[in-house]
Amino acid sequence: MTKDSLYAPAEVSRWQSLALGIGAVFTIACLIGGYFNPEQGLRSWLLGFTYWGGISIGSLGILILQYLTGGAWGVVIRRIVEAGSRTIWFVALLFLPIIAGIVKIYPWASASKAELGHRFIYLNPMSFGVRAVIYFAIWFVMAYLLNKWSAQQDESTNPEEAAGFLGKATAFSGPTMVIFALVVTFASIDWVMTLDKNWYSTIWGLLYLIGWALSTFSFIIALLANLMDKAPLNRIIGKKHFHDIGKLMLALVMVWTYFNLSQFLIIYSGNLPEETPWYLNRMRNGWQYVGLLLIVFHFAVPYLLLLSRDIKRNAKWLSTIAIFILVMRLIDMYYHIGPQPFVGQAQTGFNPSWMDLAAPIAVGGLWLWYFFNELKKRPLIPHQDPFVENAIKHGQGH
Amino acid sequence: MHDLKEVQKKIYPPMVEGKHTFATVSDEIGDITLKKKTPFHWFIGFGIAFLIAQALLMTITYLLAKGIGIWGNNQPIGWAFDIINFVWWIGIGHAGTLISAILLLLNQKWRTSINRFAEAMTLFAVACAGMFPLLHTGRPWLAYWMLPYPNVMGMWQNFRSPLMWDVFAVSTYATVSALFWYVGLIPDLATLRDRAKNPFFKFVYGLLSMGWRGSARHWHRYEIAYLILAGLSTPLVLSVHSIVSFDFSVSQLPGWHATIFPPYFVAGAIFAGFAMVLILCIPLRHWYKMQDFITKTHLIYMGKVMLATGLIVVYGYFMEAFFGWYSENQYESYMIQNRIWTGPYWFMYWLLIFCNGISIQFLWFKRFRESEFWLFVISVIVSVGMWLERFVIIVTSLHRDFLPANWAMYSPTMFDWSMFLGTIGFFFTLIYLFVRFLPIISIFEVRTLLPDAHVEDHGHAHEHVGDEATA
Repeated sequence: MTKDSLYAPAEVSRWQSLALGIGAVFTIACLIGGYFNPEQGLRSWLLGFTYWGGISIGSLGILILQYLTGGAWGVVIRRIVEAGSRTIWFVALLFLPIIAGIVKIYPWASASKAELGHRFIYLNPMSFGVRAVIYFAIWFVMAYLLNKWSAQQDESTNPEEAAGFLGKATAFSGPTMVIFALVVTFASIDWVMTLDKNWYSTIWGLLYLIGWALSTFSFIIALLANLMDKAPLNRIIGKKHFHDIGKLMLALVMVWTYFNLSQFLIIYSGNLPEETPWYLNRMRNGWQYVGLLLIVFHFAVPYLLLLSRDIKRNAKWLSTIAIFILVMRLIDMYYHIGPQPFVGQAQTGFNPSWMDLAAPIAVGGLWLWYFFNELKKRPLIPHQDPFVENAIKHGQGH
Repeated sequence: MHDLKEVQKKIYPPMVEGKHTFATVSDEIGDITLKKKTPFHWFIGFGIAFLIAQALLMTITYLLAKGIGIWGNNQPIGWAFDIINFVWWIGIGHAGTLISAILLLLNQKWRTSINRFAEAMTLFAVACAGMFPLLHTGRPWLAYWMLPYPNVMGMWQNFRSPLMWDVFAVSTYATVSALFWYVGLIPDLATLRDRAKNPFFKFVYGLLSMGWRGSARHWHRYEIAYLILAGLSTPLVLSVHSIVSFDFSVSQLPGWHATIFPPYFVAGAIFAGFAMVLILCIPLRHWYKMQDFITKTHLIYMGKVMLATGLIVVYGYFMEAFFGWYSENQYESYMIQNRIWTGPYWFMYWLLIFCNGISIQFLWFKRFRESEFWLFVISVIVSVGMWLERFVIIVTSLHRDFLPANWAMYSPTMFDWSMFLGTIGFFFTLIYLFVRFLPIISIFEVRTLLPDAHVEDHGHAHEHVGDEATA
C-alpha cells in the first residue's frame, strides 16, 4: 500500500460542494423562518444541532471505544470517526445560536430563583454557557490528541514505532472514556432534558450515549457503502466488515429499546405527578403516533431485518437500513424536543413546523461539508497500524 | 514481516502458554478428574464448605418450624436479608452466561478457558438465590401457586407485579444456563468416558455423554445447538437483572424509583460475577497448575472487565446522588442525605464506595491486574461491596420512608446470618464437587486455541496470533 493511493476518491469533493450548497440554501431559509418565528426557529435549530452534533460526538466516542476493544472493524473505520471527531470545534460554532437564543428555548432561563430553588445555581444562562465551553474544550482536547497520534503513526517507519503510537492512544482511551461518558451525560441533560425545567430521569445520559453511538454507526455504514465501490476502499472493505458493524448496529438498536422501555415502564408504573407530564405530552394530541412509529420503525423493523446474516453482509441492504435508522434517529430526537411546550406555554399540540425539517437539513449540509473536508485530509486507512493487514484480510474472510 | 508478528504478539499474547498438543491438553485437564490423587487441600476445603452448609440446613429446618419471624425483618423493613442475598447471588450468577454467550458471539477467544467453571458457578449461584424468595413465602411447599396454571382455587397471579416477572425470568435463566452448561459438557464427558479406567465412572460418564462419538455430524449439530443457546441466553443476561431491578424501581419509594436502575443493576451483576469468577479461578489456577490455560492475559482481561463494569456502577451512584440533588424533591433529597451522611447507616454507604468505587481504581495499573494476589484481594472486596450495595439500596431506602412515625432500624438476627453464610457453604460445596468430578476447563475448546488446530490455513505455529486479536 502506498500512502498516496489511499486518499478519498474525487467524488467526495463533489459531495462536499453539494452539501455546502444544500446547507447554505436551507440555512438562509431557516434564518428567514427564524426571523418571523424565533421560538420555532431556535428549537428546530436545536433539533438539527443535537442530531448532527451527536454524530460528531458519537464519532469521538467510537474512536475512543475502538482503541479499547481492538478488532478489525475499528481499524477500517478509524479514519472516518477521526474525521468526525475533528468536526468538534465546528459543532461548537453551530451551538452559538442556541446560546444566543437561550431565553427563547429553555424555560428555566427566565424563571425566578424562587421557582427553581437550589437548582438555580445549575439552571442559569451563565453556568449553562460555562459548562458548554467546558464540554467542548474537553472533547476538543480528546479529539486533538487522538488525531495527532494517529497522524504520527502514519509517518512511522517500523512496526515497533507504529505500535508505540497505538499503545499511547489505547492507554489514553481508558480514562478518557470515563470522562467522555460523564461529559456526554451532562451535555445531554443540559441541552435537551432541561427543556422541561422540572422533569428528570436518571437514565437520560445513557439514552444519549447509546443514541448518538447508533447514529454514528449508521452514518459510517451509509458512508462506507458509498465509498466501497471506488478506490481505495474497493480493495479494503469486505463483506465481513459490514457484518461486524451490522452486528454492533443490531446490538445498539436493542439497547436503545431496552433503555427507552426501562425509562417508560418505571415512570409509567410510578405514576408520579412530577414525572408523568413528560410522557403525557408525548402520548396525546397526535404525538402518540410518533411514539408508535418509533417502536415499530426504530426498533421492530430494523431489529428483525438485522437478525439476518445475509442482510448484514450485503452493503446495499445494510446501508439502506442504516439510512432508515438515521431517519428514525431524527424522529427520535424530534420526539424528545418537539412535544415540549414552548417557553411560557402550558401545553403544546401536534404542531410540526417546516423548519423542523429545514433546520436539520441546514445543519446537516454545513456539517457534512466540513466533515468531507476533514475526510479528504488523511489516507482512508491507518496504513501503518500493526493490525491493518489482518483487519483487511478479516474483511475478505467468510 | 517477522518483526510485525512479534509486535502483534506483544499486544495480544497467545491464549494458551507452553508447548501443548491435543493429547497434553486432555491429559492436563482430564487427569484432575480421572487419574491424579485427590489433593489433600480438596478434602480440607470441601470439609469446611460442607460444614458451613449444615448451618443452612439447620436454619431452614428451624425456619419451617417457626416461620419467618425468626428473621430480623420488621415494619417498615419488610424486605431485608432475604432480598439482599437473593439479589447478591443472582448477580453473581450473571458472569457465567455473559462469558459463555455474549463473549462467544463476540468471538472473544479468551472465554474458552474460563467459561466452564463460570457456567457452573452461575448454576450454583442461581440455586442459592432461588432459596431466599422461596423461603420468604413461609410455605415453600406452596410455591407452585406462583405459576399461572388452571386451578380450582379461583387464584390468578398478579401479572403487574415484577415479583411475578421474577418467577419467569429466574426460572428461564436457570433452565437455559443449565442446558448451555450441559450441552457444552457433552464432548468433554465423552473424552472422560473414553479415558476412564474405573468401570463405574466409565458407565456414568458414558450415560451423561449421550452416545457422543465425535463424528462430523455430531459436531455440526453441536455447533448449531451451541450457537442457538448462546443467542437465546444473551437477552437473558440483560433481562434477569433488569427484572430484579424492577422489583424496586417500579415502586414509588425514593432510592428505589430511578430510571437508571435496570442498566445499573445489570452492570453491577456482571461486576459481582466477574469478581466471583476471579475468586474461584485464581486458587484453581494456582493449586491445579493451570497457568498454561488460564494465563496472565486472562487475568488481565478479567481485571479490565471488572474495572469497566465497576465504573458503570459508580456512574450509577453518581447519577443517583446528582439527581437526588437536582430533583428539588424533598423526599428524594432527604433519602440521599440520609443515605450519605445524616442517617444512621452512613458508614455502610461509605464502606460501599470504598469497596466498589475506590478499590477498583487499582485495576487501572497493569501491576495489579497481573498479580494473582491483588486481583484476589480486590475481588473479595468487590464481592463484599456488592453485598453492601444491596444493603444500602434496600435498608436505607426502607427504614425512613414518607412517614416519620413509621421509621425504624434494622438489625439481622442470628438466623439471617446463618442462612446467608449457609448458602455460601452450600455454594462452595457444589463448587468442590464440580472440581472433583467434571473437567474444570473445556478440553475440546482449549484444543481449538492450539497452533495445531490451525495447521491447515497457516502452517506456521504462531501465524494465527494477529488474526485472533483482530477478529
